[in-house]
Amino acid sequence: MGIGCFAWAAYGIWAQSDAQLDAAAGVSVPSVEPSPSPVPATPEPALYPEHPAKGDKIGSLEIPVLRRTLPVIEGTGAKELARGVGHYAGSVLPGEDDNCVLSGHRDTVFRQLFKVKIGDPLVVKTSAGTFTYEVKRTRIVHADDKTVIVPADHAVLTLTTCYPFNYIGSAPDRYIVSADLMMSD
Amino acid sequence: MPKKVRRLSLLVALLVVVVMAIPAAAMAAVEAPVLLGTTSSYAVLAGSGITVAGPVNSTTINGDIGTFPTTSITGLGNVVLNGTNQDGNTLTQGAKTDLITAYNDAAGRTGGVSIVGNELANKTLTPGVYKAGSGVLYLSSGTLTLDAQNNPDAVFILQASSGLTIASETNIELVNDARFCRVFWVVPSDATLQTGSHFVGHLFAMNSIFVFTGATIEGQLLARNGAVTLDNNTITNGLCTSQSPASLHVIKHVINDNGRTSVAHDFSVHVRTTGGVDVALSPAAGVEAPGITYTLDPGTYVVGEGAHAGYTVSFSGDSDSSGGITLVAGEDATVTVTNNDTAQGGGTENGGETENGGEIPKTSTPLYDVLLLGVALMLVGSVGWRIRKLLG
Repeated sequence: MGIGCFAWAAYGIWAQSDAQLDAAAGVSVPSVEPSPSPVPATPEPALYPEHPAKGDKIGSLEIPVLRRTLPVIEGTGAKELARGVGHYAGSVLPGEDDNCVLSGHRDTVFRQLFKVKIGDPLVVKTSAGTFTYEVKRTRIVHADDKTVIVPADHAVLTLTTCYPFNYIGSAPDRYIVSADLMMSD
Repeated sequence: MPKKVRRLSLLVALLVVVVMAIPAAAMAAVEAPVLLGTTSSYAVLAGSGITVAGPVNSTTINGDIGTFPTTSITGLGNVVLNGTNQDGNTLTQGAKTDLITAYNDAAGRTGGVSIVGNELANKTLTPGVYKAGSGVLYLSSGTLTLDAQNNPDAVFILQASSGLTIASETNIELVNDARFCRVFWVVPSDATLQTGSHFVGHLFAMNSIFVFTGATIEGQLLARNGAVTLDNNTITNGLCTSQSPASLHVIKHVINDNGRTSVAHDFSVHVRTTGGVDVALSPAAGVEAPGITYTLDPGTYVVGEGAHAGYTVSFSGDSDSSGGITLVAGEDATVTVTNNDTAQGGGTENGGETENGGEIPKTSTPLYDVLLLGVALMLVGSVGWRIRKLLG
């Protein structure tokens, strides 16, 4: 039975992190520019025609320094986080002028998030385009910190995961990566 | 009898009309200052020359001097001039033109209260227009008091019908925030300021201005056609300071025509100096009309707001399109800051901006726990198996 538990857990960690790659590869294809013509230069056109439903795959997050591309799922419930990086529904969508929050499991998709350093690029691809962010800050906050998910006056990408990364049980802290939008295509 | 009644009622009606008209006229008597144009920098401006008698350096003039079309200035060596001698140059010529405008403005103010007996001695005047009867207007003794009634912008206009004579050792006193730069004298003939008198205000004379020994002047001596003669005097055309504050109303108006839900008080309103310093009461939460009222010193300010995603901002009313506004003394200005929500569809699940103070999602799976449990069980299992083997 012990072997079983070990095997299941080990497989879970391995399989999930690997499955992301396939899923991501699948999603990044349709997200390439729906149709470039009907985008008039009106002031601040909506990037997204409507807000996605919980569980929708909204795009992908590429972390070049980790050589990983992860699917981004709308919502941060257990179900969504099991499928990839979750988009916190109370935050704006990637590329929009405000704080976009993406969360992922510390032991699967964001297991190596600590390797992301200031200045590293983060690339989010969605139906609205490709958004390249640059990491400006990493920090560790308590799980109930209220200064992470806050509005911003410009396009910000915030990645969150639990901390410490290898903590047994419910981790008391959160690891935060903040990035500013540099480029959108 | 019915005829009499009718006449009486007509009389009453007339009386009512007259009584109603009086306060209306009184209200209309809030006078604007006379605009001085380019004459404002001059302490002495003449049409047919300036003559300064007395010992060397015995007269002090704080302000510019000039004369045109006769450009002679006699006794300049008797003057300590804290200003510029513009003689008859183009600046003086321009100022002479502006003097005509100012003179006509002051002379043209209507509704003047008659000055009883053409005598200003020991009178106290409240703000307004005062008109002399025919003959010379006198301040023959004592003090003329000008009472601004605590309004530093209150204007006094004194219209002579002929000459003006300010007698020896008389005084003009400003009380309750009255200021020399809001006092205007218009004299269609000559003005004479006798020995030791103290005169206050902008003096517009059609002909000449004669100033005798020891008289002091706070204001200007501006003669359209004649000369200005001085003798041991001090003339100070100072700055018009201690201005009254201005009122600035800032209205925050929010338009949600794209489904966003922020309201005025979700925005912070700033009123800053051009140096970027917030004034008192700034920043404050926005308020729809009538808005927030700031009491400010005259000057230039910038209305702005704190960052608020999902809305465009525009400024209207008395400011420029980026919220800059220059307030003059006593002004009552309004700036409306309009925020219009931008098209959305994306945004958050609630449509608006990213929520403030959201809880960071829990991102631990039980995988590590299970992994540990697995290791533990394997250990227990192997130990158990070993023990059983040893026992067996």
